[in-house]
Amino acid sequence: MEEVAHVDELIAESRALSGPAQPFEEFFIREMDRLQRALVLITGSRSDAEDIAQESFMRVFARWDEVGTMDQPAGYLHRVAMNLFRSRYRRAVRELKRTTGMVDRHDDGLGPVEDRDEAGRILAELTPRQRAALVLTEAFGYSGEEAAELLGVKPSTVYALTHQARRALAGIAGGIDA
Amino acid sequence: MPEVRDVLERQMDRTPIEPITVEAFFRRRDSLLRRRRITAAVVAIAVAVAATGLAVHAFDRAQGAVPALPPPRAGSIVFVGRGSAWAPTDNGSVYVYDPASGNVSKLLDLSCTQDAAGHRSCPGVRVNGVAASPDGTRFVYSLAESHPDTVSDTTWTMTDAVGLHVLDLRSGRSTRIVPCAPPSCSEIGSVAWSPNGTTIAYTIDRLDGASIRLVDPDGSNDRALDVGLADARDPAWSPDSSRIAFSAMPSHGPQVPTLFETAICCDTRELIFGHTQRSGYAPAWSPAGTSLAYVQGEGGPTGSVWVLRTESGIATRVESLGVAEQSTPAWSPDGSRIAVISNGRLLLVDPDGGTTTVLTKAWSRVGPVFYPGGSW
Repeated sequence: MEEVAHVDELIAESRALSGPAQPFEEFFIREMDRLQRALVLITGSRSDAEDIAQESFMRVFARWDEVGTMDQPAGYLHRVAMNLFRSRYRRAVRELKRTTGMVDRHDDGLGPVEDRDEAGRILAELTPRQRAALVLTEAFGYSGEEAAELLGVKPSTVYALTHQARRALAGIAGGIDA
Repeated sequence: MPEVRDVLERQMDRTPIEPITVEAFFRRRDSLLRRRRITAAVVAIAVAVAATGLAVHAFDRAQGAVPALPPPRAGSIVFVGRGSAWAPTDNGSVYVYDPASGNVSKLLDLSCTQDAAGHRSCPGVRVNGVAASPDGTRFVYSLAESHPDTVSDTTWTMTDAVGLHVLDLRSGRSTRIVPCAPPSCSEIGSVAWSPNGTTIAYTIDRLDGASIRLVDPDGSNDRALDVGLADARDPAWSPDSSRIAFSAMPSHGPQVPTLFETAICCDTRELIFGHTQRSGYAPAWSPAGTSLAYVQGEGGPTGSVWVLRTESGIATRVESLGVAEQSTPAWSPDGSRIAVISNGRLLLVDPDGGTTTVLTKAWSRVGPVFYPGGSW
């Protein structure tokens, strides 16, 4: 037992010198809720958002020794989440088109939000890609170029995707109380 | 005055979620990893049993080269194994079913390797589509990036080999003729080699939909096939190589995948079926050019095989089992059978609605295609 404790101390000491700057658990608690909420907005589905968030954190955890030393580990998390979203979205579009002919249809995720106010309604009318571009640039503060890289599109496409949504939401922004 | 950012932040704050705690995250992670390991083990056993004692083309991740092997026997059926995040031990290898012996062998190996310490290494690519040249000397296949789920003791080797490849069976050399990288290309899907051997048609997928392109087998003359329709995919050559059938979204009416055909120079027209049904995808012309087999969705990710007699315009359902999303029916060279993947199994279907024969167990995914010639 004594020896195990000694090894643990050595590991902790070595991590303090060169390992992650923070424990994974702290990172998880700080980022999970926000990522999950963003993914519900993007995908329109609570279950998809949970799945993507869980998988994203699993991949981050698998490489935490490396990711934890990054200046912006959240950037890596968002990159993984967007890759998963893109992959899942492509598959969903294919399947939806082949089964019902509908695309960009939501499940129960945005339903309750849609009914509440104008902002929810506008967001629900956007495509998942438009919402993703908007969330990345506005909520997460990425530049157009960075968001384009995360979404695998050109910067001009990000601008085109967010243009209509920005205009619509700007109208609301002017009308609500701060 | 609040900005767009404030509106979005407010919306995110009020978005209902079921918060995931650290403890719940680790519990769910353990459960997922356990399930994936079990699935991987089952698939590993199935692949090992199928491939025992048979020669294999091992994909060289660095060079894209494979050792030369005798070409598959005429009339063999080529298909892609089930390679998915849930079955990481085989990431979409290409298999050959030999009708004479009933054996299955690997033509292109994309399965994982495992060292003595149990550490698994897998290629980060999978085969998305495959087709044979009419003279049987070459195969064209599309390699797409895998997005594997986490398996803690697995290393995924990413390569820059994503794109369209031609494998020359005489030299064993595989050459990438079309690269694929975002944003112009998310992945390349189904492929079709023209019966006159001069052109390969392929589906290119992007986040905003799919389109069909044509390229010469040496990679030159890569160009778009302009059909004027959204989400065009699944190209299928007519026997005389003058026309291509495909599925796309119609320009008006219900947005369901619908079958069209186009002459290579121009003139796209919809293929009409009966009175009530319209939707269809994954078309395949019969060798005589008088019938078109295709898949029709049935309210889920799978569908049924139908055969349209072009002269009468009458379509008949010939197989109602769950045909895989990425499976395209393939006519035998003599037109007497249709091969298709259904519920992971390779089936031989009678185009007149007769007996269906099950050729392999449940681990097929993409294809199939008939290797030219044979006694079918």
